[in-house]
Order: sequence, then C-alpha cells, then structure tokens
Amino acid sequence: MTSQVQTVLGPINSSELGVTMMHEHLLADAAALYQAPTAPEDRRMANELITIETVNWLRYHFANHLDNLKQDDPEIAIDEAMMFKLEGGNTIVDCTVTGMSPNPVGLANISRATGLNVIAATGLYVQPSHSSNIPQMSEEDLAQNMISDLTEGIDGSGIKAGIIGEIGCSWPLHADERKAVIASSIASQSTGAAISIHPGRNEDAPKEIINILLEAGTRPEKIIMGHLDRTITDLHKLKELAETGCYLEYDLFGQDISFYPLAPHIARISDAQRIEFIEWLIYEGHINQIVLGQDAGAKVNLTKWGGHGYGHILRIVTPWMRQRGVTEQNIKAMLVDNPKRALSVETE
Amino acid sequence: MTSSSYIQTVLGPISPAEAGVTMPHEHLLSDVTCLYVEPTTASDRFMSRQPITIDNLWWLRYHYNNHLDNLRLDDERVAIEEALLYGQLGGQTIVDATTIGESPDPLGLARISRATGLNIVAATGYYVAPSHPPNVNDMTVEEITRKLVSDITTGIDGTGIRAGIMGELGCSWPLDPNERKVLTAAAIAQQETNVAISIHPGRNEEAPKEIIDILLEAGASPEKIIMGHIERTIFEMDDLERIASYGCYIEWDLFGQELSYYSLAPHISRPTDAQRLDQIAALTKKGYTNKILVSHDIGGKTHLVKYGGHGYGHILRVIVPWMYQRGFTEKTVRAILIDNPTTVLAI
Repeated sequence: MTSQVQTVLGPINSSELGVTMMHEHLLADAAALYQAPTAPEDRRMANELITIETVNWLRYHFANHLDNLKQDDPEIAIDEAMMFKLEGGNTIVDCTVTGMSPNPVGLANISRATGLNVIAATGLYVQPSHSSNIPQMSEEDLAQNMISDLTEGIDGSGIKAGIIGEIGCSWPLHADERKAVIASSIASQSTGAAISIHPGRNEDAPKEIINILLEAGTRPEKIIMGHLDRTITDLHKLKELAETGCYLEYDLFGQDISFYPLAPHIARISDAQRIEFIEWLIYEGHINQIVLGQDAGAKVNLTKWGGHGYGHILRIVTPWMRQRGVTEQNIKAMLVDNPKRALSVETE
Repeated sequence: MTSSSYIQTVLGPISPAEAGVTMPHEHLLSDVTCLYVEPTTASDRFMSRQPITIDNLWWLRYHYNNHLDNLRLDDERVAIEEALLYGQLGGQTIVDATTIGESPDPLGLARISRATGLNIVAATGYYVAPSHPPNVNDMTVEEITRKLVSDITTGIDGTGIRAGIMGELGCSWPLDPNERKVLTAAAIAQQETNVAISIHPGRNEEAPKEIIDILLEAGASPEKIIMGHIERTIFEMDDLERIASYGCYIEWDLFGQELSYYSLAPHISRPTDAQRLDQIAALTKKGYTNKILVSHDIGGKTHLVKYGGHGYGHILRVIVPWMYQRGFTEKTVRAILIDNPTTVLAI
C-alpha cells in the first residue's frame, strides 16, 4: 500500500510533496467574474494596460478589468512560480477548473521548467461560468467527467487531475452548483481524491455545502473548505465547521485590502487577522486541519504587476508567525503535513 | 468660533466656512529619510537602491523605510498632480503636517496651493528626536515657544508664510526629553495663539495619555489637541473612549495603509480600513462624533497613485461611499470631513 498524489507529470509518493500551497492559479482566465464597470471614468480604466499608475485602481476594481482576470502566459507563470520555489516551496495545487480555462499542458510545462510539483484540478466553477450543456447533465454525468479527468486525463490531454475543485458555489447555491457538489462527492468516493470548495459569500455557505457532502457519503477528511478568510468571521460558526473534521483553508494571504469589490457588504480581513484566526483554531485544537494559500492568479496579485506573488506566505507570513510564537511544528503541519494528508490517495 | 475666526493657509487667512472638505494630516512635500534604516543583507541593499517600478512593489511594500527614495516626497510636479486627484474628488483643504526634521517647505506648499486651487495649511513644530537639528538640545522651553509663536504670527523661517497648525509633533517611546520640551513649548504657544496641536505619538498604548497629561499640565486646551495615528497606537475601545473623554480629537490618519505587517514596528499589526471604520462607528455610538478626524498621512512615494498607492483621494473615492453603504449618516460624514477639521483648525 502506497500513499500517492497525482501531479501533472505523473504520480509521486506523497512524502515528496513537501511545502505545499493548497490553492493557487498558475494559468487561468476568470472572465466569468468580469463585471463591466458602470462609472464613466472606470470604463476607460477597465481597458487600460496595467501600469504602476493603475495598480491602485485595479486593487479596488479587481473584477472590472478583463486583462487582470486573465493570466495565461506560461513564461510569466514560470517566473512567478520560481519566487515560491526560491523561498523553499515544493508543490502548488492549481485549482483552475472548467469555467476558468484550465490548461493542464501549460501546467506540465511549468512543472518541468521550475522543478515544482504541480497538481491539476477537475471540477466546475461558479454557475455564471457553466457552459450551456451543464443544466442537461445529471450528477452521474458530471461525476463521470471528473472521474475520467482523475483517472485517464483532463479533456484527453493524458494529464491526470490530482484534486477535485475548486468547486464554485454561489449564495444562494444554484441548482447546477449543487449537482456539481454532489458529483464531486461521487468522484471523491470513487477515486479517493480530495474536494476543494469555493463557498458562496455568506457565513452559512460552508455549513450548507458540508452538509450536502456529508449526506452524500463524503469523508470529512477529504473535504477542504476554501476562502474561509472572506466567508466566516463568527467564531461559533468557525468552531462548528472545524468540528466536522474538514480541512480549513486560509487561502487569501497577501490580499490586505478590506474593501471587497466583489461583495461590498463584506469587509475582508488582513494577514494579521488571518493569523489571529489560525492561532485561535490552533488553541482550540484544530492545528491538523489548517492549510494555506494565496489564491494568486489574477495579475494584480502577481509581482510583475505590483502584487505579492506565490512566495508571499513563505517570505513574509511564516517568519511573522514564528515572531508571534507559532511553533515550528505547527508551521510544518500547515505547510507540509496537512496538505500531504489531505491530498494523499492510498493505492495498492 | 467667533465671526472673526480664521484658518491660516499658506496664501493667507480664510474663513473656516471656506475650508470645506479637509484632510488634517498629510504630507505634500517632505523628506523623512531620517527614518531610513539601511538593510543589512546584500540582496536587500540591492533592492533598496532600485528605482520604484511595478515589479518591485512586492519588496517595497514590506520595506517602506529601507528605501531612501521612497522616503522622499520631493517632486513638486508630482505633488501637484497627486493633490489635483484629491481636488477632483471634491477635496478643498489639506493640512501639510511636515515639521522640522521632515524638511518642511512652506514656499513649495504655496506654489502647490496656487497650482491646484487647494487651501493648504503649513505646520510648525519638530518631528521625532532623532531628526531634531542639534540646536534643539540647547534651546530652553521659552526659546522653542518663541520660535513656534514666531512661525505662527510672523512666518516660517523668514518666508512670511504663517503656520496654521503645530504638528505633527513627533514623540518617541519612551518620550525623549527634547520632545517633552517641544510639547511644553507648544502648549504655551497655544495659549498665546489658539493654534491646534497635532501629535504623532510614540508606538505604545500608553503614549497618548502621557502626552495629553503633559500638554494639559502645561496649559493646553484639550479641544485644540489632535491625537494622531490612533489606529497603530491604541487598540482597545476603553482606551479610545478615555482619550475622547478628555475632549481631544482622535485622528485615524492612516486610511489606505492596510498592510497589516507593520515594518516600522513588527510587534504591532496595523488595522484595515474596515477595522478603522468599525472603531469610528463605535465611537460615534458613544457620542463622540464631533471628535473624529480622518486622513491618509501620505508620507512615501509608494503611497502615491503614481507609484501604485492610494493617494490623497482615497478617503473621498473609496471610504466615503463605503461609509454610506455601512450606514453612516450624511450628518456624520459631514462632521468628520468638514465640521471637525475646520473647527479644530479655526484660530
């Protein structure tokens, strides 16, 4: 019996995973999120190239700029991913699913060029990105596609997915997104792969989705609840979620702007606040469930365009955690041990 | 306020009613290379010598004071462009709180005022002790008081341009004896001139109370004292309320600076704009709406829009609409942007 993880270059022993970022996008086009700006002065900005003078506008108009949402240049992805490697990183989980223009061949090239392990994804993003045939497909049909991506290769590329998700969920949950969630459960139970969830922007969204997954027979230790930083701030709800046994993913490190253009009623939290939630979860006994990421992918988050890039957690956050008294053992749990356990599939 | 009260700008006195929307703590022209800390590693020293470009912002944002050029707001044309962005959003007045030690430039401010049509208030006073010119150590409280009063009534350093505020008066933690001298002198000068005192407290939760006690003991009026940089100094509501209960103004002047990792003091986590608004909301609920001030303290190039930052217009562009979304009334927003700053600045 061996413990393996499927990367874009083939299966590896899960002990080779090392330091892992659990939620990134190396090559993606999130045009599904695009909202044409309404204010006249913003309409001009929406079509400008990204320069140092427009960086600030972009940070407050994240989804109002098509070019910002599309980073599909493998050479740039290689340079940016190298910053993670040079800080000591080993593995990146690329959560780019159908609806965000996944490019498994591109990921394989990045993996070869950088020496990083890259794990590709199968799944569906939020309903506005669904293609027109999705409503006619059943849960079984969707599950079959996922299983095929995991066991044979994504869209006939021969490159196998190693994770299911991010499965995109809105609030309220769309019927087709519910189908995708159930399909992911079927695929997970069939293959042993983990499920990564992009919950809707509401404090109750994670609970709703976890219940659907558990009711469908998913093992909680195969579920990763993502984007907790912008979803749950109520400690009771966070504790309730933690007690299900799922993985708790703080994956927006580096994104320190509190005004949230995609949901102005929500105030986003800072890195310091993320660390405070993590310290509380550790205190409450949930260290073995915490995983980290930057969800870097949009141009404004990459160093080429003024952002923090894939190396931010290793360069800034973990040293800061150490300064704050988080133990070396706990940091290793979040960076290495938990991802390894979450992603491993036991095979004969 | 009497009918003859005025706000002193670099181009002369204006009535408080003319001042309009006012940012009470900014820097248009300043040089705070006194804060520069030379990096120790070779690679950081390399980065610290690079020009500011879009692809090294990742380093700069976490090394604010490890880069000399970042600490200089010295290009007048850039200051004009950036100030115009504030004006275009409805801003009318800016207080330039650049004091001795930060290279104040009253004539430069006058040129910027003429170029932009904005009212600009210039400052007198001294920044933190490490930036003091050598003579401060030998000056008595009386001599410092004379200098402050002269800057206010006759003009700063022979320019004829009169200061309209005393501060930011720089305080370290612990408080330096020369900084204490400046505080005492400012309190005495205030009794003579009725000019407001604006404080840059040391980076410790006890600092604001210590400074206010010194000022009040030396005869300053609490309603002419502005406690600045509150969001990186005091974190408990109780302590905030205590300062407000003295009658002092409380200034959240780091809006737009949301990087929680605070390279100038790594043991402090800086709050986000949302957290600033939460605190302000809580203080208004306690009845202290008329003591609240907001500003950006633009102090380095990376704060400017030209260099990837948020600039002088951030509060008007992003924060004010967000305040309305969060349920602040127009009356409260008006108080914070207009009534409070013009009241404290009125002489």
